[in-house]
Amino acid sequence: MPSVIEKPAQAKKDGRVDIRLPIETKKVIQSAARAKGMNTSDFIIAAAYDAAQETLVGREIMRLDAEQSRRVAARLIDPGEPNEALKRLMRGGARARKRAR
Amino acid sequence: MGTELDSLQLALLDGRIHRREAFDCGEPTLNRYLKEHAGQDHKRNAATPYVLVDPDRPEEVVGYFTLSMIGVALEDLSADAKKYVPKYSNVPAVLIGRLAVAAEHQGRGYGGELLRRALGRCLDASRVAAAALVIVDALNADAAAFYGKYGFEPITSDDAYPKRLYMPLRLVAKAQ
Repeated sequence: MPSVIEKPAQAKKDGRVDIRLPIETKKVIQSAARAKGMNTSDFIIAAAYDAAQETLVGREIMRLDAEQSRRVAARLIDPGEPNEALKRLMRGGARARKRAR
Repeated sequence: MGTELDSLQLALLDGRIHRREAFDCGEPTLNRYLKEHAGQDHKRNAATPYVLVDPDRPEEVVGYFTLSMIGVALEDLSADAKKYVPKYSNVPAVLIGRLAVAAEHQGRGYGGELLRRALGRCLDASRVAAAALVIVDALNADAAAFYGKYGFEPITSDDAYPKRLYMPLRLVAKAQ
């Protein structure tokens, strides 16, 4: 799996969120950011982004809309043929083991 | 491909053997998941974590992935599609929720090796309890491209990440 990842804090910043928060909370966030050597916005972005990923990855139930359902159903009815990369991937290991025998 | 990849062993994550805290794939979310949540998810039967290890250094996690069963609810299928897939209004699927290779081992085909073994487990699982799809969660464009190369297609058409991609398990079976 390819490693990295454009960090959200390094990417082009063309979005904006305005948040109101209790001053005490803000102070805690600011000291935590300082402790990590980050500015406050980058710290908030990084923390919220991590939390968002954790929320979204591994969801156990999925509801597809009509268009998505149609595409998935079509592919279930006729999955077509595996591409070369998938065939190489799935058969490569078996070939290598056969050679070793 | 060959002996180096083939000699790697896939094992269930075992906190007494595997050094989870040393694992670093460059993606904090995936590091933290292995360290803090994988064991617990395993215990409560939410996801099964597998680790890839070199038998000479069984404590070092080279890479890992998680598998769980999920349901994919389809809606508003045309009468035509329903004719062919009457039971598919709720499609059972195997989810490869996370898949990561340690940074020091990246670029050596280990990601593919993990995926190969994960897909093999998905097929095994589907033979025991039916599943029609394999689903993956890609955290970023690189990961989505990695899965796309093998024929995974995005479920949603927007550009948001994490992005879910899918493939019919029949396609995986055909590729074997």
